[in-house]
Amino acid sequence: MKEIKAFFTKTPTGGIFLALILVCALFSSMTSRFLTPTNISVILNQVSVNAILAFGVTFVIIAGGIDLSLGSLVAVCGVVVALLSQNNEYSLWLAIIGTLIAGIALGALNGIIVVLTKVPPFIVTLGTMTIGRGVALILSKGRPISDLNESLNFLGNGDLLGIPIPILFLVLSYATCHILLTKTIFGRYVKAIGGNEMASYVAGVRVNRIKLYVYMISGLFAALAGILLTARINTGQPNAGLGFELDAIAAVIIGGTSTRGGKGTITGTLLGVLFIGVINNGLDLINVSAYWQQVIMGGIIILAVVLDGLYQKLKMNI
Amino acid sequence: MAEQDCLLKIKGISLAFSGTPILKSVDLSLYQGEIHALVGENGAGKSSLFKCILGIISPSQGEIIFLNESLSGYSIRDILRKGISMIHQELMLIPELTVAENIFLGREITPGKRMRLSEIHQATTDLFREYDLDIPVGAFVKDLSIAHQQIIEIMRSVSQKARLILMDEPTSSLTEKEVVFFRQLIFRLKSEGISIVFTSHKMDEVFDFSDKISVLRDGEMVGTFSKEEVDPMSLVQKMVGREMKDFYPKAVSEVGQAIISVNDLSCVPHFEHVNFTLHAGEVLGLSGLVGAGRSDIGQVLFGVKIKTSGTMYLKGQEFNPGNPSEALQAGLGYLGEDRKEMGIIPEMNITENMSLGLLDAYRKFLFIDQEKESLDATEMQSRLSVHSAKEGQQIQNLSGGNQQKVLFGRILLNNPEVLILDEPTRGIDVMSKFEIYTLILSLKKQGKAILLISSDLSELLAMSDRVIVISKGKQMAELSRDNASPEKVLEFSLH
Repeated sequence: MKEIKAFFTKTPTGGIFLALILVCALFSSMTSRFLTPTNISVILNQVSVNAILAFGVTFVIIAGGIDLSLGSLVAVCGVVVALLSQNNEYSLWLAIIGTLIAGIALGALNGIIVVLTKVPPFIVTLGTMTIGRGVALILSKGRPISDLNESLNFLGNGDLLGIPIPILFLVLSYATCHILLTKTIFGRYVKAIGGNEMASYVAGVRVNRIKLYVYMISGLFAALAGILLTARINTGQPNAGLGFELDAIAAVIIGGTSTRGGKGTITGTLLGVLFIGVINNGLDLINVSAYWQQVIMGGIIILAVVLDGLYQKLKMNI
Repeated sequence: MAEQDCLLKIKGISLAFSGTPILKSVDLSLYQGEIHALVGENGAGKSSLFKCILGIISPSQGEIIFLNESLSGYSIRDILRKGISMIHQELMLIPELTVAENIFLGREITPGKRMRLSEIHQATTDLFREYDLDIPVGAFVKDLSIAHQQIIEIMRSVSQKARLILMDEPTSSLTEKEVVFFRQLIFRLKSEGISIVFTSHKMDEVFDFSDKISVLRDGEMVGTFSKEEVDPMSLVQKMVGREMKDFYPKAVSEVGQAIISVNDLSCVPHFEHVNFTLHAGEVLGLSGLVGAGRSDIGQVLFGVKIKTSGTMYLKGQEFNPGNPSEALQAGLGYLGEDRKEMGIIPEMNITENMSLGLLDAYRKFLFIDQEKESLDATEMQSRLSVHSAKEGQQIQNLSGGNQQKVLFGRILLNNPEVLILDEPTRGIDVMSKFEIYTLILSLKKQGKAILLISSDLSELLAMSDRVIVISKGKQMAELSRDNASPEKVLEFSLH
């Protein structure tokens, strides 16, 4: 009992975990279709793209930055992987690796502009968001790209030992990011820069290099998300990923990462993603209209952050 | 003095936070037109006492009487209206508004009347003229120096008809010249019958400014003394509760070979044509007014700023760090002037703060060897006697003195040959100051070359073997320990 209390009060993600359990309990009391293995698998499959994006951007936000170009990067990379795997011209591996490199390069572009110009990342990535959307339309000539490699479809819709492939990518991405943030020098310095950039620089941290890396990571995961999305719908869509950056950033913030930088966890982000996913799914199941879902979702995001603030205060007194 | 002159009377107030007593039955009497210094180590309860007076927190016991009326039950706003205001260490002005707008902030609208901008400006101009202040009332606060901003806060209190002004370390970010002006201003306020309570860690100011001195230690009022009853040494003893033989410890050591030589070094616009040599086992002091360029010299040596011309040598080899990381690898250590801005990562713990920038030494494959990291940090923590309430505590919750010791630990973990220490004791309590002096001298004995930059002249003169005086970016003089007197250094500084 003591350990359970300590988990909820002492760990930084205890609050959002509690909230997630509460909404799950709420939905399972309202409909019997919620807490079934199939539905849980559906939820995880649905959230996988948002989760992968959110993991990547968590690094950027902890380092004190922001990446608004995510949705556009998803579109560009989705189009790139579609072009590379069209008509079986190249092998699937080449298409995937090429796309991941493209994602890293686009992320690096964000990072280089942020580091060299000192323009706030909000503005820089607002610009590259629009550029990216344009590039996706140019590359695809404004049309969906179809006739893709059969094996690409497998990535989006297939399964391995009964587990859908996107869920495997989710788990793998979670583990990688979690270890990267908590166990490596890079992860430590990401938090240090977000906590106090000037102090980190004076202490000998190569601040610019770390900043560049976080945007490259964000780009890499955007590329992965783009690949999974294209694979799932079996077409490269230049208009894909509209507004995805906002869902990802919302999940990161709900997960307890400070928008001012310096602190945050990948586990928190995962819980934030699940929280959003569960609410979307639950509202579907109890037949709330898609329009109202948006209204409710927005309200919940604000409420979650407000409650977390109160909860943090409460925790101090326990 | 007669009882009716008593402006504020604090009777036995006690305060506790989650079981820990902060104030223990504190008494204090304050008279009209009195300048009263409140001294004590960090954590002694000074700011909690201020908060009680201002009504920000209410004490669990006791009573505060202001002008023969108990303040209990009054809100912060009521207490402000009754004539108690506070000048915080971090100034509370709106940078994007003008001087006049800041002074009348929140009072533009009085019942039945709204003040026009021109009226606000006129009223401010009149007020400034009365106090012989030469600050443009239409200037934006963000364009003013810290000293001017502080004056504006004080004038805001004056215009609110404050009878009592509390000031938390008012001189901590002022230059010597500004302190002189500040002194004139508070004596002017005193002559108008306004009472002032201020805190300070600088003994010379405590004795210079105040009529009475009250000492807090561990939440208890040790006593209130007149200037004649105590001297700086006995006051410090009352603050720390034990005897200290000599505030500035002494150590004689052999001065070794030249470690750093600087030849005609310039970093325009901060400083020009600076020459000096720093030897092993030596403390070289850099003195000068704030903004004279002394901090910039340290920053160029450590690669925080880049020189514009001249040469630097490290043990005979030309040395030109392009960033702090290169300087660190070359064997330099640096303590920045502003702990909050250039030192700590507030939300990280002691270990993480100490190993910051040094993690390559703890690399195990792709990961941090957290066991070794924490072992080294813990050892350093006990060597420097860093006190923390619990394990893993965030550094922002430590006292200034302990934070500073952690930053020293960061430097020492890298075992540098050269230490550049910019204001190593700013804003920390007396006991920590003493510990840091002892540490600096033991490092000197070990043969480290130390460049000490400080605004605290008595500290600088006591610690340094030689002193270089910088004024307006130019090297004015180099004085040996025997030749350096406060008067001489100040004379060159103001040149």
